[in-house]
Amino acid sequence: MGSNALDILNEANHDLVLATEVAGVLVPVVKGVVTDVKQMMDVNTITYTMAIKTGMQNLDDADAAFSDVINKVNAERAKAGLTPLQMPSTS
Amino acid sequence: MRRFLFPLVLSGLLMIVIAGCQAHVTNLPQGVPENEVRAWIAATGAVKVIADSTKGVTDSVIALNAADPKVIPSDDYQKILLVLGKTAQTGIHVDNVLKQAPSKFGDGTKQQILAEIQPLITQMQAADLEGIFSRSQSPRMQAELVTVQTITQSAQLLLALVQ
Repeated sequence: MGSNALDILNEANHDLVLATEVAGVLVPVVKGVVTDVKQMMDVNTITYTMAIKTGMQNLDDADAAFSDVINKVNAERAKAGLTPLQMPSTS
Repeated sequence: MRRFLFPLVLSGLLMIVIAGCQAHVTNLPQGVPENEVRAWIAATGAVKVIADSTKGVTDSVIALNAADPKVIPSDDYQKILLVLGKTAQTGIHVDNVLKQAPSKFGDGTKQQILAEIQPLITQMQAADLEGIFSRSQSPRMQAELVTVQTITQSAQLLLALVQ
């Protein structure tokens, strides 16, 4: 990844965009904060503290998204008279 | 711009993982192996991609069904949601394992993640989730196929990290 590519990514509101083209339309698949990744790519080093901070942020974001999914799935299951899925506790 | 961005964004998933794998970690506490920190952060990146993709497909499928319940057959709809819900449950379990052992990616952590992720991949394959989306006549369902594939591929990446 050269700096030009990272500049292009920065145009997307500092989001890392994973997408594909369907019938000529670019469909975003995943957006994520690119700043930490950009820092790692540019400098090619990361402090231990930053590594842990970035990883823990990934996990917190993932927890929120997974919990949202389970809540929405359970709302749909309730409409169909199905038992809810258990919401695991998060640490 | 779009033509240039297309191949670039497809490498986004790899970018997350490669960044975690290749960046050198400095200021390590004594006794913390660098390779374990790199593997740990790569795993958290893969989990985040799974989470974002799972949420994206869930939102789209529910919205599509709300707009027109005939687009997705009822059995398929519940099957899709069940697999997505199970993916989210597994994701939280993996999250908990990774949070309990920040920067440590030894055999114990790997075995716990392996025990979670392997059954999920088997379940996704058994449910033929990708087949449901690819066979659909709905362009919007077909458009979600790549996101479903991203979930599968990210789970495979995570599996590769712990094997």
